[in-house]
Amino acid sequence: MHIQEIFNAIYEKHYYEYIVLDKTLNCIEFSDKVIDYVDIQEASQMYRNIIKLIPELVGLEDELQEIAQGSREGIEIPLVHRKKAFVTISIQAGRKSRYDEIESIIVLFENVSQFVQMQQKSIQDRNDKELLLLELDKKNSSLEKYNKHMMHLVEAEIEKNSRLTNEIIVTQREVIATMGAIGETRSKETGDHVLRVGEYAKTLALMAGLSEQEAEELKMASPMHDIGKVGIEDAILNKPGKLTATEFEVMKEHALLGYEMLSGSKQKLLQTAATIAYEHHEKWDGTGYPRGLKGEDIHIYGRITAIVDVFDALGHDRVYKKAWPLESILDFIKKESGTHFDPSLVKLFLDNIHVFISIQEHYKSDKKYHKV
Amino acid sequence: MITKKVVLIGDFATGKTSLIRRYVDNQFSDEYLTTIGVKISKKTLQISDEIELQLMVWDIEGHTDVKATNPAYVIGAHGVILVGDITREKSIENIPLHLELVKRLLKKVPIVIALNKSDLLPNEIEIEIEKKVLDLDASLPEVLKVFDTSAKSSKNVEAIFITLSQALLL
Ligand SMILES: Nc1nc2c(ncn2[C@@H]2O[C@H](COP(=O)(O)OP(=O)(O)OP(=O)(O)O)[C@@H](O)[C@H]2O)c(=O)[nH]1
Ligand SMILES: [Fe+2]
Ligand SMILES: [Mg+2]
Repeated sequence: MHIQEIFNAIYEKHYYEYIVLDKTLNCIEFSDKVIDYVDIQEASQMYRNIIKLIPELVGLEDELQEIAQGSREGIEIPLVHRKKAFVTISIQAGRKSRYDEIESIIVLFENVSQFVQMQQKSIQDRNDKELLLLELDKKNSSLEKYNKHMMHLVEAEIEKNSRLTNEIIVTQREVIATMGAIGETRSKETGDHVLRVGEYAKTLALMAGLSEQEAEELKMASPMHDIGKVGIEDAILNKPGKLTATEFEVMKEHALLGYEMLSGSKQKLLQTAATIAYEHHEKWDGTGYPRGLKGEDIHIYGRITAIVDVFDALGHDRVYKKAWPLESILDFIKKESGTHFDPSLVKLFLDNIHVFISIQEHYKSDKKYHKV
Repeated sequence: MITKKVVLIGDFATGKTSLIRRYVDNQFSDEYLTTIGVKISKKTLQISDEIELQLMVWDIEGHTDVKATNPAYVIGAHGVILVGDITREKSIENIPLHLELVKRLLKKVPIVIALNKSDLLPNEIEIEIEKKVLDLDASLPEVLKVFDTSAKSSKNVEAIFITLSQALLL
């Protein structure tokens, strides 16, 4: 730019101010209002080095030298904050014409406050908005973290609960087995009998088409079928040899007694057990006790328990008798089909007798069941 | 008196203006007024009986896009403070990019990093800060030291400027 052009521009457009420097970067000429942009104290002394006047030029000594020597076009520092105004500072070489030697260095101050004012709001808005988005993002991800944390807690809680539930089931089962065993123990027999009955009953229930859940319930409830025996006096309960008719009548009471003991509970399992205790001595043909129920009026749990109880009881030594051989047991069950036992259940039982025998074998060898 | 140019560079709203304001005027405001262009603040440090150091601290507008940083603001700087917001992962990830620009424009100059707004993190995350600081320390060998700072609580604000100043005088 021709030096005169610059000056013309400055006079026409009042928002330019300038300082002219010699080639050693000392100030030699100021425009009127340049004092708005530089330190008055420093500017009042002639021949001050420009860097003393404009702190923005600290560090740019080399670049300024290059401008003075013509090896660099110029420097522009835009949008410099100055006493509530914004100026763009540019430094360039001054020549009479493009082809002339460099005479001086010109420092121009262009007041761009108006431009900044126009921009400020939109830049602020943009940054505010972007910040808000970032903030939201952060909130979201911490929410996500929180959610994950909650999920972990919930999962842990569920696991704990199901473990507890499991424990309860196990405990319940043990209580039941123990209860059943009390009856058995009083009659000097092993607790294994009640557990085997449970196992057989479940197996036969599944064969009869009951659901896994029903079969499991039967397995847990059936060991209590003789619980009423705790109410029978010792002399009768443990009498070696055959009972008299009167004694037998007393003995029969264990079914009703068991029912009364168990049916007081609201627990579904105990209610099921009550039904079984009540009905495990009923017979298919209606000659059983205590109520003389007939056929399918007897709950299937009772009918199943009747078969497996007899099967297991005959197979093991009792106070009043020695264990029967398997063949005799099966013959007995076959003979009682349709009179004592539900014939369709007997058929299922005999058809699958190997399954029941293997359960029996299993109990014989598996010590862990003996501890109850 | 020795005069040196120091530039703060970092994403917008990381707290460049606030750090300078805390250091120079010992003030802080929660309000966010984005910087447009550049504003220079002067701070004089008495290094010893004979040596006085005057810092020309350049507070430049923050850009997330590193290319948007005007090189005219950076050239000639004797020292650089790269600023990230410790609560804003992205602003920390951008620090190495700002560093690239610095290395392109400046010959070997001392650089420190301020991970600012550390006051916003609860105490339990202290360890996490430590880790962030260490990670950056390890990954950027050109960097003198990484600080977790707070313009709000003043934490390490003096320390960044003093560490940089000492390096400027070497
Ligand atoms: N809590 C907290 N807030 C801070 C801190 N430093 C800055 N802030 C806040 O962060 C926002 C941005 O601070 P500025 O100092 O304006 O950020 P900047 O880097 O100069 O932003 P630009 O000029 O837009 O690049 C403001 O609201 C400040 O109050 C800090 O250490 N702690
Ligand atoms: Fe019985
Ligand atoms: Mg700012």
